[in-house]
Amino acid sequence: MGERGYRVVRNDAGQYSIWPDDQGVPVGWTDAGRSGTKDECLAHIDQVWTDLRPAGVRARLVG
Amino acid sequence: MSVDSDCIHRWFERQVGLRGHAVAVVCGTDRLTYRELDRRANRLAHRLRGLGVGPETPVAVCVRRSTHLVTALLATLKAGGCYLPLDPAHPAERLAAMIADAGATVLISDGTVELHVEHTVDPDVHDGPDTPPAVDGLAPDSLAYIMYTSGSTGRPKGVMVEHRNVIGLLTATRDLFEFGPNDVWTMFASAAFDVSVWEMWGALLHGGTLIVVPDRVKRSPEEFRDLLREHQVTVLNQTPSAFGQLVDLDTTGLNLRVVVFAGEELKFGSLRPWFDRHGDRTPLLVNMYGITETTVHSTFRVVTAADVDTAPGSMIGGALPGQSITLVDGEIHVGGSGVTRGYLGQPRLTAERYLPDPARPGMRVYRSGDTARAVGDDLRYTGRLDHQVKIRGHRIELGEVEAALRGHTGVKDAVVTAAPDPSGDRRLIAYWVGETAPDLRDHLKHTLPEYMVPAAFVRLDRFPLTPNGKVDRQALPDPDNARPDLAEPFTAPGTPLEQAIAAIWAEALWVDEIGLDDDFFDLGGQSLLATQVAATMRERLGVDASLRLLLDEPTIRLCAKALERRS
Repeated sequence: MGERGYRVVRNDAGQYSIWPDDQGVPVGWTDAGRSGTKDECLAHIDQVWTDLRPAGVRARLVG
Repeated sequence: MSVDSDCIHRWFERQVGLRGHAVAVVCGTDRLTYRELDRRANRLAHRLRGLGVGPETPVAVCVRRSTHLVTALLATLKAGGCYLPLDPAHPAERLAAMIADAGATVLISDGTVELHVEHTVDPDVHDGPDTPPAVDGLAPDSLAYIMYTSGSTGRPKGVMVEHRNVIGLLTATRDLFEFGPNDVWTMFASAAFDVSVWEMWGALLHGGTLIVVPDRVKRSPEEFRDLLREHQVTVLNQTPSAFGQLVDLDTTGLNLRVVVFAGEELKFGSLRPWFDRHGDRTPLLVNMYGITETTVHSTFRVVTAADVDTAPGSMIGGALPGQSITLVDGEIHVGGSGVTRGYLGQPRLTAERYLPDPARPGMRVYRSGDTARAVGDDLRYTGRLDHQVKIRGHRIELGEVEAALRGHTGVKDAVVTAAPDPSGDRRLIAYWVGETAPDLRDHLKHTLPEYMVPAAFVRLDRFPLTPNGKVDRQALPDPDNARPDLAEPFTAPGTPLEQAIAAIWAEALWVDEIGLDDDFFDLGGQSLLATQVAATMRERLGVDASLRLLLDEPTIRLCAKALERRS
């Protein structure tokens, strides 16, 4: 039984999620350049998503 | 309009401008007008600003139920921070773990629990400016609170909720139920349980009055009924189990307009006696479904008298305005204004549960783990996909209780199940493999809140396994109701009063025989059960029993003695 494939996606707020890779990229999200099993995708997100604050919140605090 | 005009505390401040002299919050004999509450919160907010609190800063709040609790939560928002509510009744060890996980360095405390944090502030501040502090960088997507829920890996997880999530909920429900300044709400839920968010801000952002229910009153259905009468409460939020105790009483003289059920499955049949007395128009009874991750409530369903006979199950209706519910392979996905930011410090878990929303570009839905079936426009709640259970409205991951059991040196492995008891309530049963561990219950009481401590403990030589080698939960034996190993040797009850008490306790605790010196709370008793047992003792024995009696005199010998002294 083949495991379902996923891709890592990201929205404008810099939030990450996963999406079945046979269903394209959902509207309003971009391909974050990583696909694989669910576990691989989530492990990748665990590495790269280091700040869970949405981009707008972050920008206001820096600015 | 400034960018923070749609933050929770700004809505509150607009009510201060409109009705400064109206009563905002009451607890016992203590009461504050909108202006008084505002000034107190402003002074405390300046103090918090001085300690570095601003947008995205967590502030732990450990204050017993009082007007000060409301002041503390409001002040945290006014300082721009987000509150981390801690229930003083929970074990200090657990509270300290949450403070550490959230990285909070500021604590507002009334001294009820000793906790060590860099800065501790009393909620009652008498000096400093009583106008709101200036805060830059705050907007509706700033964090408002972090609410911890049970976590399956053994560690509670913090849900991050933004101002806009709460404003969305209150905007959607205001028009549906015409909430306004004439409403009187109770704050029945613990501040560490998110129904309190709805109760507190539902009252204060619409100009109403909030009655904080004291702990003592929470435990007594009669006293709670009296409180509803005295304050002419109009909006009541209850778990179905708590409301069930009210239904059994004389409920004349109330002024309820809306009753909202949340927190656990509503059995429509249980409302029959209520409808027989009060009909289904005033008050309106509303069942709501929601989760902390989607900000308290996501759906609503008005319950009618006809439903008692015709509803095919626990009906939860459809989405509140501004929210959406979709079923994906039977699982509830919630979208819209209530979807929160995610789990604090847990990107992996957040990405797994918060998925792209196919209907709203760039937005997310929350995958709930709850299942439902569509029945016309209505939804019927059907259960969970995982090992999360609800007991008396409390959300419990069985995995967290199992991890706590494994934390005892004598326990090699543990499995916890939730099984219905004869009264239809559910109770937790712990199965464990290991050496004898007579202090197992005490061990758990130090790490878990009371509602997560199992009612029964069963030691096994090994767990039954499925062909795949997993624990076969279906094959676990029922607890045999035998008296557990206790430090006290067994002494049979002697006098007729002792025997009568023993019979009532045995029935409630599901234990075959109870020794004269066995502690009620070592046999699986907890405060709700104690309240029910006290009521049964009053009814059957005609004695003056109360929750207080069981807390003070927790054995049959002591209890009987105290009752004999009184008569």
